[in-house]
Formats: sequence, structure tokens, C-alpha cells
Amino acid sequence: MGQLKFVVSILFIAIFTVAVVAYVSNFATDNNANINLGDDEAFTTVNSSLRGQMVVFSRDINDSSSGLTQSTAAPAADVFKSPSVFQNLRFTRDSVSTVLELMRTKVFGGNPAFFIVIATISTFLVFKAVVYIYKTFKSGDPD
Amino acid sequence: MPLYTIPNGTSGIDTTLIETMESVPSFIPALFFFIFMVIFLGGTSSQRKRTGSSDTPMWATIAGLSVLMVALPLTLTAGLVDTVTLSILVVITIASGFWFFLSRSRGEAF
Repeated sequence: MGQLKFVVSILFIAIFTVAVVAYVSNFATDNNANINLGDDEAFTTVNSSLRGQMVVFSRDINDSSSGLTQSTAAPAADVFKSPSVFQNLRFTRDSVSTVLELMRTKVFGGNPAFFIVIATISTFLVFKAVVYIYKTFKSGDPD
Repeated sequence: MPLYTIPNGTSGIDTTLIETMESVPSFIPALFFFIFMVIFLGGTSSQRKRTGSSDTPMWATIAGLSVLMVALPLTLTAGLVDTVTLSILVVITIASGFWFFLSRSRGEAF
């Protein structure tokens, strides 16, 4: 997964989360449901913070677009500095931590078992990465 | 003494469901789990049968959204779904989407 694909995946995760939470809470508000997800403070906080992070992402994209069209390269310059929207990854870090925090509080109730699950998944991913690197080094084709 | 109170079946299916839920509190969560697993396992196994491989994250997302669609009408009446169950359902759907979007490989469209 390339870096651009990774950022787009995180963006889709944030949009998906906002869409699901907004749909469920608006359904309850529109139909006067007895059980309203909007009563839960954690979901409203996640919704508003993800929306704020997407505004930051949009501003970064616009700044990068301006940087692309208005940048200049000095003659004989060795390094061309590209815009930083896919380098600082501020949006991805903030939105992923927001969604993971929601999972931790709601599914695990703030229990430390969540970190055990995350550590297990991370270990598995690291193992896969090591196997891929080894296979690439040995045969040149990771698959 | 009976093991549980037999629900009154003459006053509408909503009352029957609520009284069943009062006697067996795990009734609705078990129903959600059943629907989720039927869609998830049925989808993955049939796709594997047809194409040779299955897109597990996609079927997890579809199953989560389907269960959410079933759960939403049940929130209109008090006594069927509580806030904790609905919260866990929403978070499982979001987690399935998390898995789905990160599982797309290079060159594969969303």
C-alpha cells in the first residue's frame, strides 16, 4: 500500500465514521426514537473532532495545491521540496487515534485488553512485513 | 414457578418482543449476532465458492451495516435495544469499515 493509498484509506475511514454516526443519531432525532446515539457524549465528540480534522485536511490540500502551482525551483537546485500534505500525515494520525479511542472506550470499556489486541495485531503486521522483506531479499518477488 | 414469564401474544408483536427481552435479556444481542454471522459467513463462503477467494473485510462491513439497519427500527421503542448495544453495533460497523478500507491493495479501487 503506497502512501497516497494509505492517506486516501484513512480519509475514507473518517468519512465512513462520520456518516455512520451522523446517520444513526439523525435517524433517532427525526423519528423521536427512545434510544438516541446523540445522547452519548463520546459519539458526538468523535463526530465533531473528525469533522474538524477533515477541515484541517482540506486546508492542507489547498495549501499544497497552491504550493504546487506557485512554487519555483532555483536553477541548478539539487533538491525540489514537494508540498507536505502527504508528508506530515497530521490528519491520518489524529483521525486514526480518534477512531481507535472510540473503539477502546465503547467495545472494551476502557479496559487495557484493547492494547493487548492492538499489540497482537501490530505484532502480526510486523511479522508479515519481516516475511515480505525476507522474501523480497531472497527471491525478488514478495508474492 | 415458571422459568420465565410467557409473553402476552395478543397485544402486538412489539409487546411480545419487549416481554421476551425482559425475560431473556440476551435475546436481541443474540439476534444481532445471528444476523451478522449469517451474512458474514454466508457471503464469504459463497464468494469463495464462486471465485476461489473471498473478500472477508467487505463482507464484515456489509454484515455490520445490515445489522445496523435492522437495529435502527428497534430503537424506536424502549426496552428492545439499549444504548450500550447500539453503541457496540455502531463501533463494530466502524471497525469493519476500518478493516475494509485498509485492506484495499495497490491498484484495487474502493
